[in-house]
Amino acid sequence: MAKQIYDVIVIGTGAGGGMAIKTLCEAGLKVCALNAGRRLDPEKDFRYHRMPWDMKYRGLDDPKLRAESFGYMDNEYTKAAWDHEIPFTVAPGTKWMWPRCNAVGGKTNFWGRSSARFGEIDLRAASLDGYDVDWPLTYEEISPFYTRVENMIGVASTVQNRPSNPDGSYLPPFNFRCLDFILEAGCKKVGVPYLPDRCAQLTEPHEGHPACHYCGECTTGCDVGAFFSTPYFLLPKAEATKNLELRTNALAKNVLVDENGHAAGVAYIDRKTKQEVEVYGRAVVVAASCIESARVLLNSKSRHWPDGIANSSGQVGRNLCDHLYGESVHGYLPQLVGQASFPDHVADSTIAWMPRWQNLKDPHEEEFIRGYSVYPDGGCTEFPWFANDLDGFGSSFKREIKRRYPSPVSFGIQAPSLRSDTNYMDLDPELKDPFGIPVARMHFEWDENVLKMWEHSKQVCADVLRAAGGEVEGYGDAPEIPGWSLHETGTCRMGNDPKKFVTNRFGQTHDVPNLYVCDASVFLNCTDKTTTISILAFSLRTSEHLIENFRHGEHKVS
Amino acid sequence: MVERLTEIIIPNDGTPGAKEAGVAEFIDFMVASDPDVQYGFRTGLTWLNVQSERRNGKRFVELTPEQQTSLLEPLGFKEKARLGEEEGVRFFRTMREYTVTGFYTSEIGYKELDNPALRFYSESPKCTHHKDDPEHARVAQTRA
Repeated sequence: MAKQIYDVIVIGTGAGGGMAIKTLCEAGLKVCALNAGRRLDPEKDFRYHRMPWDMKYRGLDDPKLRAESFGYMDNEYTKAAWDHEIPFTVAPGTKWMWPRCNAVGGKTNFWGRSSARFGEIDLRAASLDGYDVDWPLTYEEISPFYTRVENMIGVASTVQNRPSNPDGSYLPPFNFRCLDFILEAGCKKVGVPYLPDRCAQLTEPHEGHPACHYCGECTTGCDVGAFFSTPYFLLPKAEATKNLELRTNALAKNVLVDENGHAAGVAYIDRKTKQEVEVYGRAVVVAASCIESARVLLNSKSRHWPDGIANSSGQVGRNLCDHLYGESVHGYLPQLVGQASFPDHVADSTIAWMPRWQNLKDPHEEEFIRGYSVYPDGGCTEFPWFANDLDGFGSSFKREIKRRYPSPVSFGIQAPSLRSDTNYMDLDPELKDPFGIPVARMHFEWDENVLKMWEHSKQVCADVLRAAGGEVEGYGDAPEIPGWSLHETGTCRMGNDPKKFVTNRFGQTHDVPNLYVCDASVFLNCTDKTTTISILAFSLRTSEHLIENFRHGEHKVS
Repeated sequence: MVERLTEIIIPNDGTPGAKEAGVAEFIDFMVASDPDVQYGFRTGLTWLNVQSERRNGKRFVELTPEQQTSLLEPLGFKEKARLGEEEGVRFFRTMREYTVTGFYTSEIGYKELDNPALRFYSESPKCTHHKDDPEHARVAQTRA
């Protein structure tokens, strides 16, 4: 029997892989998709719409498991989805938290849904402030892809005319809650923006997907698919073409090469049988998420590529950036004390945002370069966390918790680290995962610039809260440790110079013309915006470039 | 003893408290599942009984409610704190955290706060005040 050769092998089914799979299948290419985990069954695996007392540990999970948990999303509601089997290591001095969802759809099953476009100010940041290099494309070039993605997935927001935040194609925004109007008034006084976030949560039915029912359980998965995830939005379309074969529990090990050093397929481990399996294709798309993609490339050593495939520049795994997250300030709004409870939590934290307002007119007006955004949150959340900061016990304590329940607010910062030579990942020289594959080793520390943003945000958010009539109760002691945001970027950066960049401006690797990268690893840095919508837009563009190359005969069609 | 402590922390005072919500049972379960905190709980309860014997000649559960409260007040209220009782303060803080967690993740705790979780809406819930409502106007005046 002749061995089967697919047109394209896609590693990963998250935002980047999912978009590539759909786009390639709809263009008539035969695709084999590999996913490291299993396919979730929403009925069984998502424990949404459950009250905490319906859960064994009230949603908190077994304390023994919690001790090795990878973050806030890894809990009793979603534990079926998170990978605890594949370890990673950290270099001395590095702290790294790395939640990995290897289920089909990856982190899009539970993501935060904030969906702001990158702007010219991000893509040309280096020209503006002299640090690092510009992106190899203009905003004008990527803008139509954003529009198509927004129309595909549905993003609720408003036109805001902000220099750092190009507007797009939006569904009606979320309504402001009391706390939004109050904080908006505070922001106005301080001179910072307070606007509806760009939220990929459907405020009306969209493209066959139902509108949100505002249960507030997005991060435990959605039972009706009212926010974008690849299992609900992209994979069904790909499967309808009959051009997709999706292999689950298929942990990519390395890219196979032919006698010219070009990609010939992928070797993976079937996690059920622990056997190594080879699958062949005319082109390969790596979209396993930033660090995993780099790990696959670095593990793809051959006589042609002794340092890993597509790594003649030595840049695979380098230039790692991440979002600094943390609660800059928390406190409460006396105006809301004693009020009736209100469903404030219906979109988690993404109803409103304070989009980047720093360094807009002059790139050096602040003590740091670039900028950050802030996500305010508060009101009646599911659990009165503030109670532990109150004094006393008994009736007065119980009464005070009830009175304060609608009033807490907090400000979460999202600030980009700067590219540096000392932040990167490589392969651990000794440790291998249970399947014999060398694991990732992290080297990362927050830089001075991003820590200045953190300090700056504490000041401004406290000013905003006070100007809104609120009481400041505390400042964040320290930001979350790196990795927490799940927004790592930059291990396979795109650029025109093959000596300095891993892929060209289309996400096609310089070294290997039939090898493409479709996730946040091609981004030059992480900007102040979240990554998912940009991964979708860039993956769409890369996928169409790949299809063009097939049409031109660069990769032969089956 | 754990049940009595939870009841003192969140009492039934017209609305059901920690006892009705079965918080002690929840704490037993969580502590049993978590070897890391068991030592702290055991020594904390012992500490409280030693204090109780020293001041009242009886174990904690044998005291009158008034005696129990007066033993706990220096642990729970910052302004009443007594020197040398730091261990008790730490333990009481942990006990209070577990009680709060157990109570406000119970059905009774959700009713107590009128917790809006898992209600469904056809439109995203919005502020019901008019934009010129005194509620928001007051905000603007607070710090002009």
